[in-house]
Amino acid sequence: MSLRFTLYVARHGQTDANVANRYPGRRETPLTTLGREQARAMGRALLAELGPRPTLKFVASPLGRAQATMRLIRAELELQPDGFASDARLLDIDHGDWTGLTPQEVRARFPENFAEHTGGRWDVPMSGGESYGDLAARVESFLAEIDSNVVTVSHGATSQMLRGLPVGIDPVRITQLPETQGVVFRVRDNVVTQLDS
Amino acid sequence: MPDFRSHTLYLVRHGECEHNAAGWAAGHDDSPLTAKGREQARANGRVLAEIADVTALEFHASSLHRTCTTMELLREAAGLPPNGYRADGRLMEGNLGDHARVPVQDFLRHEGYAADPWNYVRPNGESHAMIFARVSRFLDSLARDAVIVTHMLPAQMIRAHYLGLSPEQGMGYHMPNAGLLRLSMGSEAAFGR
Repeated sequence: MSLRFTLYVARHGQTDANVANRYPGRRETPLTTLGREQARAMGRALLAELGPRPTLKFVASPLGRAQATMRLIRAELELQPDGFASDARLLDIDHGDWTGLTPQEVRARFPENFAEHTGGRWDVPMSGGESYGDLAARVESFLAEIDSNVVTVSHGATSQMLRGLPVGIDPVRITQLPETQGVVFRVRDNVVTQLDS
Repeated sequence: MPDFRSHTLYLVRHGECEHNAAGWAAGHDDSPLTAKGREQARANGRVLAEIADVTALEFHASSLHRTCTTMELLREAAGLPPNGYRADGRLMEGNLGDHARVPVQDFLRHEGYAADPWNYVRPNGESHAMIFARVSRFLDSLARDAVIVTHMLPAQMIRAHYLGLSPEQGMGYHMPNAGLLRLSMGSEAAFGR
Protein backbone atom coordinates (compact mmCIF):
# COMPACT_ATOMS: atom_id res chain seq x y z
CA MET A 1 0.00 0.00 0.00
CA SER A 2 1.48 3.32 -1.02
CA LEU A 3 0.56 6.58 0.73
CA ARG A 4 -0.46 9.84 -0.94
CA PHE A 5 0.31 11.85 2.19
CA THR A 6 3.22 12.33 4.58
CA LEU A 7 3.09 10.26 7.74
CA TYR A 8 5.15 11.01 10.85
CA VAL A 9 5.65 8.04 13.16
CA ALA A 10 6.57 8.36 16.85
CA ARG A 11 6.63 5.76 19.62
CA HIS A 12 5.80 6.82 23.19
CA GLY A 13 8.79 7.63 25.43
CA GLN A 14 10.24 5.25 28.00
CA THR A 15 7.73 3.94 30.56
CA ASP A 16 7.88 2.21 33.93
CA ALA A 17 7.03 -1.07 32.14
CA ASN A 18 10.00 -0.57 29.79
CA VAL A 19 12.29 -0.15 32.80
CA ALA A 20 10.76 -3.22 34.48
CA ASN A 21 11.11 -5.13 31.17
CA ARG A 22 7.43 -6.24 31.26
CA TYR A 23 5.04 -6.62 28.32
CA PRO A 24 2.62 -3.72 28.85
CA GLY A 25 -0.10 -4.73 26.36
CA ARG A 26 -3.24 -2.73 27.08
CA ARG A 27 -2.28 -1.89 30.67
CA GLU A 28 -1.48 1.67 31.66
CA THR A 29 2.11 2.49 32.58
CA PRO A 30 3.40 6.06 33.07
CA LEU A 31 6.28 7.75 31.26
CA THR A 32 9.54 7.98 33.18
CA THR A 33 11.58 11.20 33.43
CA LEU A 34 13.63 9.97 30.47
CA GLY A 35 10.41 9.15 28.62
CA ARG A 36 9.15 12.73 29.03
CA GLU A 37 12.50 14.05 27.80
CA GLN A 38 12.27 11.76 24.78
CA ALA A 39 8.77 13.09 24.05
CA ARG A 40 9.99 16.68 24.16
CA ALA A 41 12.95 15.76 21.92
CA MET A 42 10.48 14.31 19.38
CA GLY A 43 8.50 17.55 19.59
CA ARG A 44 11.64 19.57 18.84
CA ALA A 45 12.50 17.31 15.88
CA LEU A 46 9.00 17.91 14.48
CA LEU A 47 9.30 21.65 15.18
CA ALA A 48 12.48 21.75 13.05
CA GLU A 49 10.66 19.82 10.31
CA LEU A 50 7.26 21.56 10.33
CA GLY A 51 7.73 24.91 12.09
CA PRO A 52 5.50 26.22 14.91
CA ARG A 53 1.71 25.60 14.94
CA PRO A 54 1.70 23.28 11.89
CA THR A 55 -1.65 22.45 10.29
CA LEU A 56 -1.79 18.71 9.92
CA LYS A 57 -3.63 15.95 11.75
CA PHE A 58 -2.46 14.46 15.04
CA VAL A 59 -3.61 10.97 16.03
CA ALA A 60 -2.52 8.96 19.08
CA SER A 61 -3.22 5.53 20.50
CA PRO A 62 -5.80 5.76 23.33
CA LEU A 63 -3.31 4.43 25.92
CA GLY A 64 -1.98 6.93 28.47
CA ARG A 65 1.70 6.62 27.49
CA ALA A 66 0.92 7.60 23.90
CA GLN A 67 -1.48 10.38 24.96
CA ALA A 68 1.06 11.87 27.39
CA THR A 69 3.77 11.73 24.70
CA MET A 70 1.47 13.43 22.19
CA ARG A 71 0.66 16.26 24.62
CA LEU A 72 4.38 16.93 25.20
CA ILE A 73 5.05 16.85 21.43
CA ARG A 74 2.19 19.30 20.74
CA ALA A 75 3.39 21.67 23.48
CA GLU A 76 6.78 21.86 21.73
CA LEU A 77 4.96 22.68 18.50
CA GLU A 78 3.13 25.55 20.28
CA LEU A 79 -0.19 23.78 19.85
CA GLN A 80 -2.99 23.22 22.35
CA PRO A 81 -1.76 19.97 24.01
CA ASP A 82 -5.14 18.22 23.97
CA GLY A 83 -6.24 19.05 20.42
CA PHE A 84 -5.63 15.65 18.85
CA ALA A 85 -7.64 12.57 17.87
CA SER A 86 -7.37 9.05 19.33
CA ASP A 87 -7.71 5.88 17.30
CA ALA A 88 -7.91 2.36 18.76
CA ARG A 89 -6.32 0.93 15.62
CA LEU A 90 -3.04 2.45 16.89
CA LEU A 91 -3.21 0.52 20.20
CA ASP A 92 -0.22 -1.54 21.23
CA ILE A 93 -0.19 -5.16 20.12
CA ASP A 94 -2.36 -7.14 22.56
CA HIS A 95 0.09 -9.16 24.65
CA GLY A 96 -2.80 -11.25 26.05
CA ASP A 97 -1.69 -13.60 28.83
CA TRP A 98 1.85 -12.24 28.55
CA THR A 99 0.74 -8.83 29.83
CA GLY A 100 2.64 -7.76 32.93
CA LEU A 101 5.25 -10.51 32.59
CA THR A 102 8.94 -10.30 31.68
CA PRO A 103 10.19 -12.31 28.67
CA GLN A 104 11.86 -14.69 31.14
CA GLU A 105 8.57 -15.26 32.97
CA VAL A 106 6.72 -15.82 29.70
CA ARG A 107 9.31 -18.40 28.65
CA ALA A 108 8.83 -20.23 31.95
CA ARG A 109 5.00 -20.10 32.01
CA PHE A 110 4.16 -20.44 28.31
CA PRO A 111 7.18 -22.25 26.82
CA GLU A 112 5.35 -23.61 23.76
CA ASN A 113 3.54 -20.38 22.93
CA PHE A 114 6.75 -18.39 23.45
CA ALA A 115 8.72 -20.65 21.09
CA GLU A 116 5.96 -20.78 18.46
CA HIS A 117 5.32 -17.04 18.54
CA THR A 118 9.03 -16.22 18.40
CA GLY A 119 9.42 -18.58 15.43
CA GLY A 120 6.44 -17.13 13.54
CA ARG A 121 5.29 -13.83 15.00
CA TRP A 122 3.23 -12.88 11.96
CA ASP A 123 0.91 -15.89 12.22
CA VAL A 124 1.05 -17.15 15.82
CA PRO A 125 -0.71 -14.94 18.37
CA MET A 126 0.59 -14.47 21.89
CA SER A 127 -1.68 -16.64 24.09
CA GLY A 128 -4.97 -14.78 24.49
CA GLY A 129 -3.61 -11.83 22.46
CA GLU A 130 -2.69 -10.83 18.92
CA SER A 131 -0.27 -11.96 16.23
CA TYR A 132 1.67 -9.39 14.22
CA GLY A 133 -0.62 -10.25 11.31
CA ASP A 134 -3.63 -9.22 13.44
CA LEU A 135 -1.88 -5.94 14.25
CA ALA A 136 -0.98 -5.39 10.58
CA ALA A 137 -4.65 -5.74 9.58
CA ARG A 138 -5.84 -2.95 11.87
CA VAL A 139 -2.91 -0.67 10.98
CA GLU A 140 -3.63 -1.29 7.25
CA SER A 141 -7.19 -0.15 7.91
CA PHE A 142 -5.87 3.04 9.60
CA LEU A 143 -3.45 3.73 6.73
CA ALA A 144 -6.17 3.22 4.11
CA GLU A 145 -8.19 6.07 5.60
CA ILE A 146 -5.40 8.67 5.81
CA ASP A 147 -6.58 11.75 3.92
CA SER A 148 -4.01 14.37 4.98
CA ASN A 149 -0.52 14.66 6.38
CA VAL A 150 -0.55 13.22 9.88
CA VAL A 151 1.56 12.85 13.04
CA THR A 152 0.99 9.54 14.87
CA VAL A 153 2.06 8.53 18.36
CA SER A 154 1.76 4.83 19.03
CA HIS A 155 3.75 1.87 20.33
CA GLY A 156 6.76 -0.28 19.43
CA ALA A 157 5.12 -2.91 17.25
CA THR A 158 2.49 -0.48 15.92
CA SER A 159 5.22 1.94 14.86
CA GLN A 160 7.01 -0.90 13.04
CA MET A 161 3.82 -1.43 11.00
CA LEU A 162 3.33 2.28 10.32
CA ARG A 163 6.87 2.48 8.90
CA GLY A 164 7.00 -0.88 7.15
CA LEU A 165 3.57 -1.40 5.56
CA PRO A 166 3.43 1.80 3.45
CA VAL A 167 6.80 1.07 1.84
CA GLY A 168 6.23 -2.66 1.31
CA ILE A 169 8.81 -4.15 3.68
CA ASP A 170 8.20 -7.89 3.95
CA PRO A 171 6.50 -9.21 7.12
CA VAL A 172 9.55 -10.83 8.69
CA ARG A 173 11.62 -7.68 8.22
CA ILE A 174 8.90 -5.44 9.64
CA THR A 175 8.99 -7.27 12.97
CA GLN A 176 12.78 -6.78 13.07
CA LEU A 177 12.68 -2.99 12.64
CA PRO A 178 13.96 -1.03 15.65
CA GLU A 179 11.30 0.24 18.07
CA THR A 180 13.05 3.54 18.55
CA GLN A 181 12.04 5.93 21.34
CA GLY A 182 12.84 9.65 21.25
CA VAL A 183 13.04 9.73 17.46
CA VAL A 184 10.46 10.57 14.77
CA PHE A 185 10.32 8.86 11.37
CA ARG A 186 8.91 10.48 8.24
CA VAL A 187 7.22 8.20 5.69
CA ARG A 188 6.83 9.90 2.32
CA ASP A 189 7.04 8.75 -1.31
CA ASN A 190 7.94 5.19 -0.27
CA VAL A 191 10.93 6.39 1.76
CA VAL A 192 11.32 6.21 5.55
CA THR A 193 13.63 8.89 6.98
CA GLN A 194 14.62 9.49 10.58
CA LEU A 195 14.25 13.19 11.43
CA ASP A 196 17.33 14.93 12.84
CA SER A 197 17.11 15.51 16.56
CA MET B 1 17.07 -15.16 9.70
CA PRO B 2 19.01 -13.89 12.74
CA ASP B 3 17.18 -11.16 14.61
CA PHE B 4 19.27 -9.74 17.42
CA ARG B 5 16.49 -7.34 18.47
CA SER B 6 14.37 -10.29 19.61
CA HIS B 7 16.94 -11.00 22.34
CA THR B 8 17.48 -9.18 25.61
CA LEU B 9 21.04 -7.84 25.70
CA TYR B 10 22.90 -6.83 28.86
CA LEU B 11 25.61 -4.49 27.66
CA VAL B 12 28.52 -3.92 30.01
CA ARG B 13 31.58 -1.74 29.59
CA HIS B 14 34.81 -2.96 31.21
CA GLY B 15 35.72 -1.50 34.60
CA GLU B 16 38.19 1.34 34.92
CA CYS B 17 41.59 0.38 33.46
CA GLU B 18 44.95 2.06 33.96
CA HIS B 19 44.64 3.96 30.66
CA ASN B 20 41.19 5.29 31.70
CA ALA B 21 42.59 6.46 35.04
CA ALA B 22 45.39 8.30 33.20
CA GLY B 23 43.05 9.85 30.57
CA TRP B 24 44.49 7.87 27.64
CA ALA B 25 42.65 6.04 24.88
CA ALA B 26 43.48 2.36 25.32
CA GLY B 27 42.50 0.92 21.91
CA HIS B 28 44.06 -2.51 21.60
CA ASP B 29 46.63 -1.88 24.34
CA ASP B 30 46.82 -4.37 27.18
CA SER B 31 45.58 -2.14 29.99
CA PRO B 32 44.82 -3.94 33.28
CA LEU B 33 41.89 -2.97 35.51
CA THR B 34 42.55 -0.71 38.48
CA ALA B 35 41.31 -1.74 41.97
CA LYS B 36 38.33 0.54 41.34
CA GLY B 37 37.71 -1.14 37.98
CA ARG B 38 37.75 -4.59 39.57
CA GLU B 39 35.17 -3.50 42.15
CA GLN B 40 32.99 -1.97 39.39
CA ALA B 41 33.03 -5.31 37.58
CA ARG B 42 31.96 -7.19 40.73
CA ALA B 43 29.21 -4.64 41.44
CA ASN B 44 27.81 -5.22 37.94
CA GLY B 45 27.82 -8.98 38.57
CA ARG B 46 25.72 -8.48 41.70
CA VAL B 47 23.28 -6.19 39.87
CA LEU B 48 23.02 -8.64 36.97
CA ALA B 49 22.16 -11.50 39.33
CA GLU B 50 19.31 -9.35 40.72
CA ILE B 51 17.78 -8.32 37.40
CA ALA B 52 18.31 -11.41 35.22
CA ASP B 53 18.18 -15.19 35.31
CA VAL B 54 21.92 -15.55 34.74
CA THR B 55 21.68 -19.30 34.10
CA ALA B 56 19.66 -18.64 30.90
CA LEU B 57 22.15 -16.26 29.27
CA GLU B 58 25.05 -16.47 26.82
CA PHE B 59 28.21 -14.60 27.92
CA HIS B 60 30.50 -12.88 25.43
CA ALA B 61 33.50 -10.66 26.13
CA SER B 62 35.86 -8.76 23.89
CA SER B 63 39.09 -10.74 23.80
CA LEU B 64 41.14 -7.89 25.30
CA HIS B 65 42.56 -8.30 28.80
CA ARG B 66 40.40 -5.64 30.51
CA THR B 67 37.11 -7.05 29.23
CA CYS B 68 38.00 -10.69 29.98
CA THR B 69 38.97 -9.71 33.55
CA THR B 70 35.74 -7.72 33.89
CA MET B 71 33.73 -10.71 32.67
CA GLU B 72 35.44 -13.13 35.06
CA LEU B 73 34.91 -10.86 38.08
CA LEU B 74 31.32 -10.17 37.00
CA ARG B 75 30.52 -13.88 36.62
CA GLU B 76 32.09 -14.75 39.96
CA ALA B 77 30.07 -12.02 41.72
CA ALA B 78 26.93 -13.33 39.97
CA GLY B 79 27.59 -16.79 41.42
CA LEU B 80 28.85 -18.37 38.18
CA PRO B 81 32.12 -20.14 37.32
CA PRO B 82 34.44 -17.33 36.12
CA ASN B 83 35.50 -18.96 32.86
CA GLY B 84 32.17 -19.95 31.30
CA TYR B 85 32.13 -17.31 28.58
CA ARG B 86 33.32 -16.81 25.01
CA ALA B 87 36.04 -14.30 24.11
CA ASP B 88 35.30 -12.70 20.73
CA GLY B 89 37.66 -10.47 18.75
CA ARG B 90 34.72 -8.79 17.02
CA LEU B 91 33.90 -7.06 20.32
CA MET B 92 37.34 -5.48 20.70
CA GLU B 93 37.74 -1.73 21.04
CA GLY B 94 38.59 0.19 17.88
CA ASN B 95 42.17 -0.31 16.70
CA LEU B 96 43.86 3.09 17.03
CA GLY B 97 46.91 2.00 15.02
CA ASP B 98 49.53 4.77 15.05
CA HIS B 99 47.29 6.91 17.29
CA ALA B 100 47.55 4.58 20.28
CA ARG B 101 48.92 6.15 23.47
CA VAL B 102 47.49 9.56 22.70
CA PRO B 103 45.48 11.54 25.30
CA VAL B 104 41.73 11.12 24.64
CA GLN B 105 41.07 14.78 23.83
CA ASP B 106 43.89 14.94 21.22
CA PHE B 107 42.73 11.73 19.65
CA LEU B 108 39.17 13.09 19.25
CA ARG B 109 40.48 16.39 17.86
CA HIS B 110 42.58 14.80 15.12
CA GLU B 111 41.61 16.67 11.94
CA GLY B 112 40.94 13.63 9.73
CA TYR B 113 38.67 12.19 12.40
CA ALA B 114 36.91 15.51 13.04
CA ALA B 115 36.16 15.89 9.30
CA ASP B 116 34.48 12.47 8.92
CA PRO B 117 34.34 10.53 12.18
CA TRP B 118 32.52 7.54 10.71
CA ASN B 119 34.80 6.84 7.77
CA TYR B 120 38.21 8.15 8.84
CA VAL B 121 40.65 5.22 9.00
CA ARG B 122 43.42 5.77 11.56
CA PRO B 123 46.87 4.87 10.13
CA ASN B 124 47.37 1.14 10.66
CA GLY B 125 44.07 1.13 12.55
CA GLU B 126 40.31 1.13 11.94
CA SER B 127 37.45 3.48 11.06
CA HIS B 128 34.16 3.48 12.93
CA ALA B 129 32.56 1.93 9.85
CA MET B 130 35.02 -0.99 10.05
CA ILE B 131 34.32 -1.47 13.77
CA PHE B 132 30.57 -1.40 13.14
CA ALA B 133 30.87 -4.06 10.42
CA ARG B 134 32.49 -6.58 12.78
CA VAL B 135 30.22 -5.69 15.74
CA SER B 136 27.20 -6.14 13.51
CA ARG B 137 28.37 -9.61 12.40
CA PHE B 138 28.74 -10.52 16.07
CA LEU B 139 25.15 -9.40 16.81
CA ASP B 140 23.79 -11.49 13.95
CA SER B 141 25.48 -14.56 15.47
CA LEU B 142 23.57 -14.36 18.79
CA ALA B 143 21.21 -17.25 19.49
CA ARG B 144 19.86 -16.25 22.90
CA ASP B 145 19.66 -13.45 25.47
CA ALA B 146 23.22 -12.40 26.20
CA VAL B 147 25.64 -10.52 28.42
CA ILE B 148 28.15 -8.59 26.31
CA VAL B 149 31.24 -7.12 27.96
CA THR B 150 32.87 -4.68 25.60
CA HIS B 151 34.30 -1.17 25.19
CA MET B 152 33.12 2.39 24.63
CA LEU B 153 32.90 2.36 20.81
CA PRO B 154 31.33 -1.08 20.34
CA ALA B 155 28.92 -0.33 23.24
CA GLN B 156 27.84 2.93 21.61
CA MET B 157 27.34 1.13 18.31
CA ILE B 158 25.40 -1.82 19.73
CA ARG B 159 23.08 0.51 21.65
CA ALA B 160 22.45 2.74 18.63
CA HIS B 161 21.93 -0.21 16.27
CA TYR B 162 19.52 -1.93 18.66
CA LEU B 163 17.49 1.23 19.30
CA GLY B 164 17.56 2.36 15.65
CA LEU B 165 19.43 5.60 16.35
CA SER B 166 21.69 7.22 13.77
CA PRO B 167 25.48 6.74 14.16
CA GLU B 168 25.81 10.41 15.22
CA GLN B 169 23.21 9.98 17.95
CA GLY B 170 24.92 6.77 19.01
CA MET B 171 28.37 8.31 19.32
CA GLY B 172 27.01 11.03 21.61
CA TYR B 173 26.22 8.46 24.30
CA HIS B 174 28.72 8.11 27.13
CA MET B 175 28.87 4.59 28.54
CA PRO B 176 30.58 4.89 31.93
CA ASN B 177 33.06 2.27 33.18
CA ALA B 178 30.46 1.06 35.66
CA GLY B 179 27.83 1.03 32.92
CA LEU B 180 25.28 -1.79 32.65
CA LEU B 181 22.61 -1.18 30.05
CA ARG B 182 19.71 -3.54 29.33
CA LEU B 183 18.35 -3.48 25.79
CA SER B 184 15.03 -5.29 25.61
CA MET B 185 11.71 -4.97 23.75
CA GLY B 186 12.98 -1.98 21.80
CA SER B 187 13.82 0.02 24.91
CA GLU B 188 16.86 0.73 27.06
CA ALA B 189 17.28 0.83 30.81
CA ALA B 190 20.49 1.74 32.64
CA PHE B 191 21.58 -0.10 35.78
CA GLY B 192 24.86 -0.06 37.68
CA ARG B 193 26.19 2.68 39.86
